[in-house]
Amino acid sequence: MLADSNEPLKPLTAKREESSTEPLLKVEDLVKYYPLGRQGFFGAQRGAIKAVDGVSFELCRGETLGLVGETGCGKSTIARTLMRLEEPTSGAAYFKGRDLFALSKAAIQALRREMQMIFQDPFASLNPRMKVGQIIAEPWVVHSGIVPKEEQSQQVSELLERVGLPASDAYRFPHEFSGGQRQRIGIARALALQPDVIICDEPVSALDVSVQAQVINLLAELQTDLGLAYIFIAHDLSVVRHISDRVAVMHLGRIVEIGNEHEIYTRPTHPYTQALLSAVPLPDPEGRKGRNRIVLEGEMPSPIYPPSGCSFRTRCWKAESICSEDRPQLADRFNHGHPSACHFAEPHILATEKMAGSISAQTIALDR
Amino acid sequence: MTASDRAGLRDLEEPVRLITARSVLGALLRDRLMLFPLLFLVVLAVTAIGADFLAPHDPFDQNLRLRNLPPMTASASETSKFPYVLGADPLGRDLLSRLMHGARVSLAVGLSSVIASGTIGILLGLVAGYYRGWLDDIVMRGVDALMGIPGLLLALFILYLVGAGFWNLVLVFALTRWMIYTRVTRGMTLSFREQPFVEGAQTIGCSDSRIIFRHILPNLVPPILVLVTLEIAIVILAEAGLSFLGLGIQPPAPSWGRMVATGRDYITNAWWLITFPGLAILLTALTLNLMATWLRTVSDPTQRWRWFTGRSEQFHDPETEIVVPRREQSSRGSMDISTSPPGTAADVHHLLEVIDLRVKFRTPYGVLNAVNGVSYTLNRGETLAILGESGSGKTVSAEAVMGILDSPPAFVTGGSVLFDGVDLLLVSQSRRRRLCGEKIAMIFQDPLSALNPAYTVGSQIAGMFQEHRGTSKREAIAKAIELMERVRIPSARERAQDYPHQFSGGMRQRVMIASAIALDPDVLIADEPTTALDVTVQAQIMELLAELQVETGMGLILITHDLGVVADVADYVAVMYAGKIVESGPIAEIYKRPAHPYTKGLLASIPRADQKMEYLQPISGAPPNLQSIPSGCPFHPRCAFVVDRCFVEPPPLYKVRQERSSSCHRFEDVMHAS
Repeated sequence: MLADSNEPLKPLTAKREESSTEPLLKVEDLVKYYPLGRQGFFGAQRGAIKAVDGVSFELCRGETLGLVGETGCGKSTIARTLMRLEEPTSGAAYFKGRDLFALSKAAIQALRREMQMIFQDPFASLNPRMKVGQIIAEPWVVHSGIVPKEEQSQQVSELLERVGLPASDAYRFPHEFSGGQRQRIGIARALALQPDVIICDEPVSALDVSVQAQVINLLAELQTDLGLAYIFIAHDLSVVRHISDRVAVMHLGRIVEIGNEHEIYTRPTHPYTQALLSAVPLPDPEGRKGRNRIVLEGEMPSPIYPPSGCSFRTRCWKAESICSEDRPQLADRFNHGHPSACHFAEPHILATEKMAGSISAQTIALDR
Repeated sequence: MTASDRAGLRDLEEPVRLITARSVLGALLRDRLMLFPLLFLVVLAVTAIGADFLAPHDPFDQNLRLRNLPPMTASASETSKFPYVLGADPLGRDLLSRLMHGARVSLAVGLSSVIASGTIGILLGLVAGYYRGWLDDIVMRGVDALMGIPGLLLALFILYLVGAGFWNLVLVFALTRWMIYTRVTRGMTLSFREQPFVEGAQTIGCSDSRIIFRHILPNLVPPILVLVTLEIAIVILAEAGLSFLGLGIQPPAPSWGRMVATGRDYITNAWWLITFPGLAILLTALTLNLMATWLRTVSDPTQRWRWFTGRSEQFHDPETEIVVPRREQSSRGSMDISTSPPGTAADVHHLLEVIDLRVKFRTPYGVLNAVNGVSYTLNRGETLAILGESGSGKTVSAEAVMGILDSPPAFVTGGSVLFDGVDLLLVSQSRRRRLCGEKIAMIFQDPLSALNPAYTVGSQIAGMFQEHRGTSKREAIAKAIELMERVRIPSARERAQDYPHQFSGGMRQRVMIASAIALDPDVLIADEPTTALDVTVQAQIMELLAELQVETGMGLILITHDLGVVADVADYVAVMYAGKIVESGPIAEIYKRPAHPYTKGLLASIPRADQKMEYLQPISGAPPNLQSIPSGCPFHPRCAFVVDRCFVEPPPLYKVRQERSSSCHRFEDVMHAS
């Protein structure tokens, strides 16, 4: 149920009960267009940036759904519309059975308690003029009745320790911390409202390499301990693989392939997923000679004028005339349990089978 | 990783101190140049507040026998034992006393007006900037309309309607000056409302008013403070002007503007009547403006060091004395193992040889030790990867090689950079600039900021030929198009006419590469060339760089934090930590069996796309503060192999085997630990 404010304090550090098999969050056909304004004062509408163009997925309790894709694929817009930082153009998102987008402003405020967000930039996501303790306790000031005032400092200490910082840090300002520590503070603030879902928008991509693992491990630990569900948005396919149970690959506002982590990373069927995975640099200097890469030609198409049919066809080496006429639907073509949206989907077993060499891929692309 | 990582530099300026009232006051008291204005303002404030007690005479006390008394003449009158230091006015009133009381009027008008107009303006700006939409339109069109009317005209009109007097004057200034605050506040609110911390406040359910007043407003304080200071000066001047016209403060109340107006009539026979109030106005306005400039610099953490480093003696610190970049001929003769480049005999002729390079940053908070003795060599056709996190000194060391350090605050304090046997740090500025543009080229993480937005990319690439080769414009453009084709920019001929913003990130990086290889450099330094790019584009660019290197045989230095990118292209790798190379050698060997715990830790802590790892083994702690690098081995606080000697004894670069070195006392244990 929504916002049962009499919940005792303990669940801050206790695992929540599994209630039902119904998904916690169900997004249906989410669309977000940013209109471009008019041509002149009386002119016609100039079209729109189609940031998210019909996305559906489910998120279950305690699981992590990774959203990957390149810049401009709409993954962050999904996070922002789900958090109601942006209003969706159309679509529905059922959180515990209630449509997030149909709720009133007051109902949304109550709902904030159960869905929280962690931001990318640890330097910009904390108010520089508030002490860490104030930052973490602010949710309790806004939502009265969660933690009474006299217990707040105690709870702040507990949260800080939970994310691996000393309790005395509550009296310091954000600028006194390193990037990794700030991200821990951001996590503590997100936990303060005891959410069921945390949307992590590139939570480690601004951190130093040696610190990333600390934060990833912390997120994983919290998930095990508190039964949190994550929507984990990142462009780094390695990080996403590590933390996700399921992965959705996005291209130009749409999900082109979705499935569990193992399926996506070992048997991708969509050529875009295959290209992405083959482009990921591996810390493996010895293996580089044997690796064949699919190096895509060209650039991501404009989200204002996406190509007809399949949006990937302009960069795809498999594209044929059907691809420009008929947009492929997400379908499980091989009964692997992971649907992909390609007319010519083929499972690729990355570990054993070598990919189509980069040269042949380019030749095909150039011939056309 | 985002542009925030213009590796090193931003992080070097850390800790970014918060601007608080206390820190500003502290800085003010330390700064000698500001002492005079500060003192003047204090005197002015004390005078204004205490005029009743401090003034030697009653400002209204007329004594017709002392009419137009010149300064310093009459010692005393029968009514008062105090001299008339600045003389007396046409009604025989003491000029000094009137000036002192006038200060009160001027400051009172200034402060009250600024409070009134500031409150109106800031509130409107916050609301307009936060809610945007029609509210914003109405407010801003109002601002535009009012800004279009000359302020003095508007003031005269209002004063004509309501009549002169103190409060009417405040009303006039409130009505004619609020737009400035609205503009500034709205602009900043617009950018702050997009900040993640404001969005964070939204996601936890803060109300609009809480976000505006608790989250946005406190962050606007420093710039508003600057504005307020400037506005006080403007209002004081305007009050003087209006009083001079007879529309401001009414006689007999003393006001500087009024006094100037009176003085004008006697300008030929009583110069002091106009000079002293004029001086008072001038000095006050000047002081406030100086104050505002100072506040603006000090409240901007990225600018603040400029204010301080201009006068270095304030940061004179004998312990961290900076040697200005003049040094004796390179220390090659006395090289021991710690400065010897990895795996090379010192007498072999290398394309590029960096020996014991040191760079420090002088900042208001002390000295940052950015590069602390870096040595490496690069040969023709080789790719050397310099791997490190932000603040490791990888970018700064490359910028020192290129001679493009921002100096101040950065200073090369030692070492040598031998290019083809010539020490670049010792040659003349002009020769160095020529060498670095031609023979050593560099590309950056963010190509958009490295390209000039006002010129077409074709002409920018062509500029390389015109500048260095004296080629004609037409020929240079033809060569530029050739180069653009060589870096595989589709339809290069047409695209040469386009401006940088019309290119995508990947294409822009290709343009950068084209202009970098224009003059066939021997060395190309690529600083995080693909960090801002998507993974598929990243692969394209890396492939291009590798191909160009094979074609031209240039030496490539690849600076990055990404262990994967390095692994794909580099022959050798140098791992940097806290301004030092901690491990170097052939990349395959190092990745297979690292000899430094930091390298080992990095390799164990990164997730991989080709395998699912159950648990990542993180390195504990955070990279060090460059102001106080840990004693002994800089990595010891985070090291799993730490022993007692690591705390005190800085490890030299031990030779691990042919071509490999590691600065760890226990490199053998590290290599043998699984």
